[in-house]
Amino acid sequence: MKNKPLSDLMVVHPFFEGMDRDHVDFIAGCAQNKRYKAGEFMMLMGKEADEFYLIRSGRVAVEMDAGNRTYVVQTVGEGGIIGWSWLNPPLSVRYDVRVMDDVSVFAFNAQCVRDKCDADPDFGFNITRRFMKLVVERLMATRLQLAELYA
Amino acid sequence: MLDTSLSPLPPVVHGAGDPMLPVKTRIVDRKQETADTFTIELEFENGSEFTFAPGQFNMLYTFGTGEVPISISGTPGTSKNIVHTIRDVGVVTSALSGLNVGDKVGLRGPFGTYWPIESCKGKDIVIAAGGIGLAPIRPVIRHVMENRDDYGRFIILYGARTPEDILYPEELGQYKSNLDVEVWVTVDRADRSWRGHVGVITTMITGAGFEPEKVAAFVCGPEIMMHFVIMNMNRLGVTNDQIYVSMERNMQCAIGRCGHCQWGTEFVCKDGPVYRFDKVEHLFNIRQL
Repeated sequence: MKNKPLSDLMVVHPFFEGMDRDHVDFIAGCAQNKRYKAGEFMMLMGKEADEFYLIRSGRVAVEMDAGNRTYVVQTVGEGGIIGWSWLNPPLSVRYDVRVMDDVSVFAFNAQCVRDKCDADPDFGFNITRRFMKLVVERLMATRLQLAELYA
Repeated sequence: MLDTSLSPLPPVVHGAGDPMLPVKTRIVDRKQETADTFTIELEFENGSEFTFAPGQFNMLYTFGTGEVPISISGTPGTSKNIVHTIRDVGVVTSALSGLNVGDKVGLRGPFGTYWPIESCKGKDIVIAAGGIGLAPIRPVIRHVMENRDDYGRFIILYGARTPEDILYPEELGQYKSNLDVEVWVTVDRADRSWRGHVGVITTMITGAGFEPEKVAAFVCGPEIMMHFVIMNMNRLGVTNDQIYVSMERNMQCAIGRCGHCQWGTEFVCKDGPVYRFDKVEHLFNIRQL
């Protein structure tokens, strides 16, 4: 039996909602399936931002190491996106990402995606807009947290 | 279309025919819920029973200090016990916090409109509460739990600042152990000892995956929270006539005479505190009203 192409699996992820199939196929060339076990770190602060992830299942914690204490800034689960530091210099990871429950992800090679964005500005704009939406959502969430939403 | 007629129930006057006259109650139980929040259970000194509908509030009077409006957070209906969960944030609530079992509290009430849970039978019930906002909505939760067959899906979304600030954690755990109740709890910040969700309550709304046309939503918490919760529900297709909110204003007389709680054309103490959102949407976005 022939395996489904990765792009067929990817289209169901919310990140690709409404995206032209050509663009999904284009980015699929930079993707691979990966799995991480609970307790593993998918990303470490200060390391090169060479990948980003779309979560298929499981859950991760975005953490900030404050020396004597580790703060969980956010948890992200199925359908979520992890990593946007890959898009712009300095291309270094800003937070630790620890796996809470075993995760299955589509992992994207950042250099590959950046090259494709440069090669096809229409595709690049599409990807940038989707990440812009993510950044705005995270910014809004952070502002709400700062506003002591439940006080 | 859900219930539009959220008129207040006829006031039950315990104070010798005068709704302004507090009646003496006695604290029969006290529980510290979180660092700044506690629950007291009151009984009338004369032994009479108390009836309220979910969402209504009482005016609690600490002798020598003053009076404060507090939502009733016990099981709705008629009982000898009157349950209030209170956050210690001001002079009167601080005085209430200092009282113990056996101490006396003056009570007027119940007042105000109520969550129209009876007219939402057959609907999927979505509760979205933040912080102390879980207390005024607890009677709805208890009602639905006791009449589970009358409702469709039951989804409770609750946000708190930290795991230590989560109200009624054991009770939420019990609800969650029911296979037909979905309880989603999130906190704004935590350390690694917290295994649950971290993020604002709005992030859970999409994840809850409800069918918008079947929903009756009950939203209770600070206005900023309600604003963003409603915005996200609207985005999913829940319309404002499916959403109920509980408002908080400076309620003093509780019978719509003093005007302290005036909110546009509304007196929150008697026209509210529970409103169907489409009826007050125009007031909701006016700053400093």
